Amino acid sequence: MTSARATSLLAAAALFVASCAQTGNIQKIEPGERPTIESDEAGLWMQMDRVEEDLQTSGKVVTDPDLNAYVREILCQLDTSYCADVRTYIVRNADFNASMAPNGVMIVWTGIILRAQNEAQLASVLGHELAHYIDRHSLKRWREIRSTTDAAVFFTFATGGIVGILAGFAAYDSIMSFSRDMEREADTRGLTMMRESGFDPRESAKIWQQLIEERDASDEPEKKSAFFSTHPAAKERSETLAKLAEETDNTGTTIGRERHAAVTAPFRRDWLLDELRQRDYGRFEVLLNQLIEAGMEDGELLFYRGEMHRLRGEDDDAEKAIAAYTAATGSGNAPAETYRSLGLMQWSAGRTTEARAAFETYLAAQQDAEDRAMIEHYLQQMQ
Amino acid sequence: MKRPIAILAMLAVLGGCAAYSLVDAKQQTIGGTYTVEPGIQWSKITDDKVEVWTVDGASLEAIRFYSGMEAGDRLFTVSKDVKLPTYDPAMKASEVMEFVVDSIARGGAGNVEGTALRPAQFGTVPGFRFDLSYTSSDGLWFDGLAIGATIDGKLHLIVYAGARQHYFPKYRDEVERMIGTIETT
Repeated sequence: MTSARATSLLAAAALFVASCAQTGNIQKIEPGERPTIESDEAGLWMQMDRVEEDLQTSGKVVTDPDLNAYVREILCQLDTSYCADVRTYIVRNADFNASMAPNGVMIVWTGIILRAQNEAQLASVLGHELAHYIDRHSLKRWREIRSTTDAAVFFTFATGGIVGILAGFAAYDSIMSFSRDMEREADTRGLTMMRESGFDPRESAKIWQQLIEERDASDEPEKKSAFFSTHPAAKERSETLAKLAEETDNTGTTIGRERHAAVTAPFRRDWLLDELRQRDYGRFEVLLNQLIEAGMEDGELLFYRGEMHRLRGEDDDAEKAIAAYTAATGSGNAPAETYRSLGLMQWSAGRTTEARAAFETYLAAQQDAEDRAMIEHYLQQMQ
Repeated sequence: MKRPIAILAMLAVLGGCAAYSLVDAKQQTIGGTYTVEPGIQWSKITDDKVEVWTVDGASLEAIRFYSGMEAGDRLFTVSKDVKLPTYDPAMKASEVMEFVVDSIARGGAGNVEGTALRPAQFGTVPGFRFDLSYTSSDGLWFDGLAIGATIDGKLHLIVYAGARQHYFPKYRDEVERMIGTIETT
């Protein structure tokens, strides 16, 4: 979607909805329910339907059927009755964020799936977003905005300058950031859904705690993540969720670490690369440590620990990178690129014998290496 | 939420309000460090260490000539919130490709890949070359190629990219021919 189109769509939405905004108590939406055509809610739905059309061809949506089926299965397990009303879109984005539009579009960023250490943690996020839909928080928020400001001006201001894919949803998020009460309501309903559908609700607080640790270790602590910017008081919420989980009758016991690891394994490398590309080394290091401490240590994670040190390049990072690559090569599933990176670091350190060995191992392990000609050139240069 | 931006469009506005000027089909000096000889007329805008040339519009195809990149330089800027990779003269060719690929990805492109990294002559200087592919923020596929060399610790780099459908192939032969005319000064 272009900037102009996103802006005009939302401005049009504002004008449309401003003309017929309604008041009154807002009940939760029933399964299968659609807003009546003359309602302000129908206007919100219509505009988000248009944005959804653009989303579908954006190139950022992960279309893998197995991964999508996995996310939908968890969503539908949380509440079977709303399963058909909600359309989930997995969007390739390294940050931790999810959003729920009033028309049933739920966007889940890959950064969330990467960070969720098990099915229950992912269920906690999906349940929270589903609760926003069920309790019609978008409509409530919209009517609050209508009562306090000129919506058309607000929309136009908020969308100015936003360009590209997901612009509509970005603008929507910034406008429709839910109130603290709505977030609490979504937390509570989400936790109830987790418990009643068999997931261990105690995992909900844990994912928040993991995020807090990441934020505290960030190279740019002043820069809030997308989720923190719209979900205030993370520490308070983590503590509240932990307390709520203990207070409830913990009928749910499913954690699902092994299945989550198995389903996400084919994608984890790309998602880790997305995160590393953000060049927030402090945050990346904590994320890696969390995954390793959660029992996921393997050659792939150790390779990325080496990549983090190689790219940061401060103090003793070179030796730490070499140590991480070396550890990775002893872990079974280290990618072949581990040897290439090891070769580069050893070469930079002046250890040409070790560098040669690493490059030769890379070429042997990666018969169809795209960069074979360059690696062979490196080997010639070292002679 | 981040604000992904089409790479070509973003690069097109390098230089702020700078206007396009015509590039005639005769030898052109890039940043005082190397020359190329275009065979057709291009339009260009210039920033500190990069010239962006296009025929049909930078959102469809563009060739970017970087010259004299030094430690800490970025390929482009997006916004103060988006941290982009920086160039380091110690980078090997593999790491320069990573620098380019990661920059494009951080600019908002998807499915970014650098492939077929291989040695290549940059004029008479030994350098490297690789291919690129990515999707724009609108889901449109782009192909590209890059050729470069490090001379006295400074990176000189040429990146051509265009929409896979029609525009990349449209000027590819001209770009290849122009690469063949590189002379370092």
